[in-house]
Parts: sequence; structure tokens; C-alpha cells
Amino acid sequence: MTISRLFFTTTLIALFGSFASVVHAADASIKVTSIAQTEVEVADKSGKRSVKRTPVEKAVPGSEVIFTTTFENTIDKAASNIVINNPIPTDTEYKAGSAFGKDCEILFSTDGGKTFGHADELKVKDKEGKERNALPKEYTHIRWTYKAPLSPGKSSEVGFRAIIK
Amino acid sequence: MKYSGCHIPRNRTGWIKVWFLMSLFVSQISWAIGTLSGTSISNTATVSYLLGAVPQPDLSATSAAVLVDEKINLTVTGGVTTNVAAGSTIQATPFTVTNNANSALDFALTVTDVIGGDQFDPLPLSCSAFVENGTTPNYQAGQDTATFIDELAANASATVYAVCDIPGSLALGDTGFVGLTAIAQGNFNAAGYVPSTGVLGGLLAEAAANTASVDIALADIGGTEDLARDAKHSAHNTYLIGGAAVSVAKTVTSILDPNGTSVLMPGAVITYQITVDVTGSGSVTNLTINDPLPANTSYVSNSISLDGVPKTDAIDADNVQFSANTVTVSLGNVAAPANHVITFRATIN
Repeated sequence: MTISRLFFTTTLIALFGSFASVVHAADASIKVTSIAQTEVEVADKSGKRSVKRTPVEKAVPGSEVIFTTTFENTIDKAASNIVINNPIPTDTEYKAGSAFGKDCEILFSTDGGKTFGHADELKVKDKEGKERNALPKEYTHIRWTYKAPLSPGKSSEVGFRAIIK
Repeated sequence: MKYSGCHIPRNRTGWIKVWFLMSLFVSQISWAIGTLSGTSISNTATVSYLLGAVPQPDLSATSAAVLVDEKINLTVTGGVTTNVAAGSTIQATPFTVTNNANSALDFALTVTDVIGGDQFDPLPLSCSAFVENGTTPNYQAGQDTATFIDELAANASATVYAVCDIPGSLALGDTGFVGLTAIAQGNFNAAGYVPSTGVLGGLLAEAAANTASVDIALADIGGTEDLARDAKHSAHNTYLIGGAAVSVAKTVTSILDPNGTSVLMPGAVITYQITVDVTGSGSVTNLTINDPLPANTSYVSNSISLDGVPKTDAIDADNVQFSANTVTVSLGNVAAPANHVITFRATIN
């Protein structure tokens, strides 16, 4: 790791205000970071309340955590066919309707990432083998397909909310 | 529309990606009560992409870990009515204590004996709490000796007995409330709960700010003797002074006249039978049967038997006597259900 890359990594951590780890291949042209945040309600001096995202280090069962993954193109060539695959973390449940990602098709899996489908199309079989609509808490994976090439210097982010079981 | 494998169309890239994340999948087992405190949760996303038409190595990023804190919750379930006799000692009434927290915990136990709205309190300082040890159902003084619940797993329950002495001189149907309070206790570090087998863990309170250890959040509701979010819960049981009833019936079972027939005439011997039934639940105390002889009859000496066993007339160690022309049988404390039969004979004058 070069000094400049180390500096960049440090900058990213400062940028997202969280201890995100940055992992990339030696010649990677995309930088990927993932952070965990929570929403807190804050009031300004006039008493106006607003919701602010802050890094979360600890939480009790039932808490909601927002996981956000950022990807940035750091070279001079466009990257295409960008797909982000994200297993729902162990000990958490996906919160219905929470997945977000600009210019992305968002699909879900209930079978450990073998097959994916839109949220309203996913089926699971019950104990009697009868098909029913999958519940959001049964999702095992989320997959974002970024619809356009990512131009040099550009970045985008995807994410979702999970409830700690 | 169903997708299989990767969403990227095959004809555009001639390349298909197979995700291999089984190791992440197999551990996704749902918890009934909540993720154990001390667990670290982090999110890993994997990105695949092309440069030109050339697939690039996958990139992954994992978020910082979120440490799962301790959410203290517990339930004491009572509402049990236990029939007891006035003046009886070591009367056990069962409660259930459930650990609804996301780790194992110890539970200290206290019994409340003075509670309003009832007719009596257990004898002062007579109450204790003991934990069922699982060997023999119901309270066994020799077995159920633990005074706190040690290492109760998350989502597990324990039976706890409040054991009290009951005052004397109470009326049938009188009630006395008894309360049990369980107090969640335990020790924690950054890895979660620290077992303390055989020893009651420390008292729990919410920290003012994030600490290096697992933080404690109190989520219990208020009980009969405690408030919400105090790491305690409590409930009442009721002691009911036995709903026992006594019924007495007297019958003539035989008449034998001097001629050897059954004619009521002077000199005929009448055999009387008194049956005593104690029904219901609980017990009756100092049950005594007095039967004055009818006029114009004479008692046949030493003719009394109790449950088929002959008794003497004298005022002596046996519980039967004949004096002042009255048959008296002292049955003492009788637990329901019970049945006694008294017979004696008298001659018509």
C-alpha cells in the first residue's frame, strides 16, 4: 500500500465518519467502502427536530442499522456492468422497502443468493410445499445492478436498513 | 420474472458470474429472543464490474462492526391460588420466572408478605423463595434449596416457590396475597455476558454513555411490586384458607329387641352410626363430634368404635370418650378429602 493510497483510505474514513474498511485489489479501479449508521433525532436551537445519521458502534436487539456501500471510479476509464451483491448480515433482518440505490435495479434472494427476483415476485414454499409470497425478513441477499457505466471520477452508493434480531 | 445466477445478460458480455457466498448464508438462523449480547454484526458487499469488456477481480468492503448490547427483560408469572390450612407451616406457592433478555442471567429473588386487599398476611419473617431444582415436581424442602436462579439461559424459565407459614385463627375462604420479585443480575464485558456459576452476578443499571463493555438497556415492564425499566419484575399468588366442608350424618344401622327381632321396645339395643365427611380442599382444624344420647336411652359401655377400631369410654389417650351422657370424638386437624365412621350402641329404657 502506497502512502498516497493510505492517505486516501484515511480520507474516506474521515468522510464517512465511521471506521469503514476499504478492501481492493492491487490494480483496482473502483474503491468500495461499507459503513454502518443509525438515525438519531436531533433538535436545533429553535427546537426544530430533524433526523441525522451517525455512525453506530453498539445497538440493542430491535435496533435499525443502515448499511451503505459506496463505489467510486478512480481511474480514467469507465467501469461497466457494476453489480453489488450483499448478503443480509447474520443476526439481522432486512427491513421491508428499505433498499436504495440511484440508477440501480434492485433484486432480492431468499435462497442464499442462488436466484434473485423483484420484491413483489419472490416466492417461498411453506412446510406443506405450498408457494407463498416471501416476507422481507426471509431475504438472504440483495443485489444492485448499476444501469449505466460509471464514468471516471464518479461515485455512487447503495444500501439498506436491517433490524438486529 | 425469475432471475437465475447473475442479472447481466449473457449475450452482451459472454460472461457469467457465480456468487459463492454459502459460508455467509448458513449462519442465518433466526433467534427467538434476540441476538446474544456481545455479538458483532457487520455488513459485507461485493462488487463486480468490467473495464471495457474485461471482467475485473471482485472487490469487497466490510463495514465496521456493530456490537450487540444487552437488553434486560424478564417476566414473573403468578396468579396461582394455593389452598392452605390456617396455622400450617412451610406452605409453597409456585411462580414462573422467565429470562427475556438476550443473554443468560442470574436472578435474585425476594418475597413480599404484606400486601393490601386481602384478609391476612403470612407470618412475619416466615417467607423465603426457593428455586425448583428439577429433580422432583413441586416443592421439596430437601431438594429445592437454591435461593437465587443461577445462569438462566436466554428465553428459559425457572419455577420459584414462595414458602411461608400461615397464621392460625382464620376463616375458611380467607385469602392472603404473597408477591415474588425477581431481580436480573449479571456481569458483562466487551464480549458479552460473563458467567458466574454458583455466585449471584452484579446489579444492573444503564450506563450514562457508551462504555468499553456491552452496554445495558433496561426494557422490563412494571410488575405488582416494581416499576418499568428497573431490571425487576414481580407478581402475586394467593393463599386461600382451605375451602373444606364437613358433613355429618347419623343413622340407625340395627335394632335388636330381647326377643331377637327388630321391634323398638324397652330393652332393645340400637346401633347408631355417625359418618363424618370432610370434602373440598385444604383442611379443617380441631374437628370434634359431640352426640348427646337421646332421652330414655342408656349408653352401652365401651361400645364406641372409630373407623372399625374399638375405643374406651374413659377420658384418656384415645380420642374418644363418653361422659355427661355424651359421646365425644376428637378428630383434630383433618385434611380434605377424608371420611370417618363412628358407631356406638344404646339400650331403650
